[in-house]
Amino acid sequence: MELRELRELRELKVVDLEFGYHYQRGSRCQSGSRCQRDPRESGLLISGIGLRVSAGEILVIIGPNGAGKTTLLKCLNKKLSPTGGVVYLDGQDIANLKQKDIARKVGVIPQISHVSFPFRVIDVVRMGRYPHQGFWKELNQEDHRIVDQAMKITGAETLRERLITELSGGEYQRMIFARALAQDPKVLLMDEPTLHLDLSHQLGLLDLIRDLVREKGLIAVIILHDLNMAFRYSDQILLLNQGRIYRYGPSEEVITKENIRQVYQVEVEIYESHADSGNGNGVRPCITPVRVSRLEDQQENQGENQEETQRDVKRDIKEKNQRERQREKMLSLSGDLPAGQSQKYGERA
Amino acid sequence: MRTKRESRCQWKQGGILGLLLLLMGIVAMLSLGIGAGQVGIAETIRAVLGHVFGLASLKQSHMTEAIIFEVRFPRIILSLLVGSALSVSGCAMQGLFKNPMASPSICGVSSGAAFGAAMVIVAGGSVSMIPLSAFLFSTLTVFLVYYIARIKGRVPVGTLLLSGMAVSLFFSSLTSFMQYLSREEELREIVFWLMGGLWTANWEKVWQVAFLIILGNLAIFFFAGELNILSMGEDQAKDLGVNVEFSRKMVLVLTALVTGSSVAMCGIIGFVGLIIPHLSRMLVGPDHKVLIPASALAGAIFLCATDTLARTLIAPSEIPIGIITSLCGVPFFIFLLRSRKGMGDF
Repeated sequence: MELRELRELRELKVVDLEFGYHYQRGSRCQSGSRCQRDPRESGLLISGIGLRVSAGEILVIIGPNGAGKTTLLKCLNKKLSPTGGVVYLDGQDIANLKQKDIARKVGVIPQISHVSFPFRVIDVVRMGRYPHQGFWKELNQEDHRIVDQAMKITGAETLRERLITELSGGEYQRMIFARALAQDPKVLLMDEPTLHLDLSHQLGLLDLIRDLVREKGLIAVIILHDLNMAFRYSDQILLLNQGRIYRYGPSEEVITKENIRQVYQVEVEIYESHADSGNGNGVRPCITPVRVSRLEDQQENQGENQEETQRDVKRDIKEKNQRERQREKMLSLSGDLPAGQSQKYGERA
Repeated sequence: MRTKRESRCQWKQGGILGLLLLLMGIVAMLSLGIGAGQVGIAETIRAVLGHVFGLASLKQSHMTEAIIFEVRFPRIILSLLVGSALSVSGCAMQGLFKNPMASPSICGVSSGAAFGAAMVIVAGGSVSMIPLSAFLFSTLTVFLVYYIARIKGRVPVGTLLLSGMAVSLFFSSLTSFMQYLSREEELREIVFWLMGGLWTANWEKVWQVAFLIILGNLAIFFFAGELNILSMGEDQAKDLGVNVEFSRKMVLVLTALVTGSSVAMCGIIGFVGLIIPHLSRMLVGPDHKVLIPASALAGAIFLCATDTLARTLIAPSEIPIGIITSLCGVPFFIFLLRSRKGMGDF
């Protein structure tokens, strides 16, 4: 047990995950491993989800409202028990782990919820040590050190004695981030962490997350709505639509005009920005929404969905070609992305 | 590390707990010296000192000793125990449900107990059956409420509170039906029981519940850390590794146990479980590690003081204590609704 705990967490792997609130385990359709029907019809909120994130990587989940992003995130720390499939933390099925054991490895930054009692910020951050505490729940020197460090890293130090009922959205978010870090996690799960932050705090928070992930070899799974931010900070992107993976792979393969039109029904322009962001990536695409797709486009898309099975092959070929072109374009633009890495992602996707 | 300010805060909390303890001693001593019987405070102090140090010179008359040690003393001890039980369980339920309006009666403890008692009274059972039946029905109600609210292994807080109210109403109407069926004498007995009172207190009753209440309160205190995290919400509690269903079930069982045994002994005493936790939260903050002991002390003081009022205001007759606690409780409750200070947003 001790050894297993000490060993660094190397990867988070999800195999064929599915979840539905009113769904019985084992009653999925018999035709094969994947149900071809609309997942919503069978009562599943998400289905057929498979992903793999290694230490030091950031996976960003994007997708329209109601695509199942939060549901997927909740399955990753057993807050919801999946009705099918397995989540592996470093090879261990989390279904066999206690909630407390998971909390020692996985820190969560949820969406802001309402606050009922006026705790002090420091009290809340100390709650992060709960999974590490023994029978009598007393904090020792080490716990205090970790709490202080977490407060320092996240800049929540100045909030120390404030009451949580009096915090602004951004301050609350910083406190929750500090609490998640106080758990000393190997995996960070974040549900729209930038939601209540202004632009500078958004960049600050995501920079901080990226640095932590790189330095400490953490694994981060982040739900974001801002496609530019998603592009900028992700190693991989998972585009979720109607409870299924629409695309999964490196950013430039997932965020394409075509994919965004299909999933969000929005026309976008993707430019190349030459502004130096200071992290080595000289050229980065810049996604600008143009308009909501015209009605006839949408109808066409819906028609396509209905005849999905027939058109699948055709579309796949078409899109594969398009993706190839897109990738070549990207690679030629940003020389620092090694071809080998891209190849690896390609296989994974 | 702890900052200076923080250690000062801890000293303050410690100081408040100390003061409450002292206040409890003083209130208990005063209550001992006040009453319908012709026994004053001076005599009482002498008698108690004589008893404690075994000094024969301070021994009072047989009558005085009997009033102090057989009538008032057990009654005061019982009021302290019951007060602490009611307010500690109110405190636990508010944290558990992340809801400042929760109290034992919301989960049907009181109405279940009332029905249990009324049924025995109307059915003509013996007097000793009343507490037993009240206790059984109050715990039964809590489990009923819990399992009604349980959907696929999860118990959402909103559903739990609603099912508590529904079951409460159900038992209240059953109690009303019992009152309707009852004869004059029985009706009188039911009404007295519903209004609550400690006039039947004796040492036997104290020993019956002391063990349950003290152990129950200690066990609830043991869940202070979990209650802190649970009052941040169920989802966040799971993120932090709290076994939510287990903690919730344990705390519910424990509160059912302590409130059930209090209600069984002295009928329904309203509002203690609601207002005392709020008052204590204003004094020491929302951290359950301090809040639970503070609530226990404050509840004990409050019930002991109100019980003294109940038995002395119109002596030699008595006012049912439920009336006094509610009369004090309602204005305070309205004040809380208006000010919301120290309760956060809800």
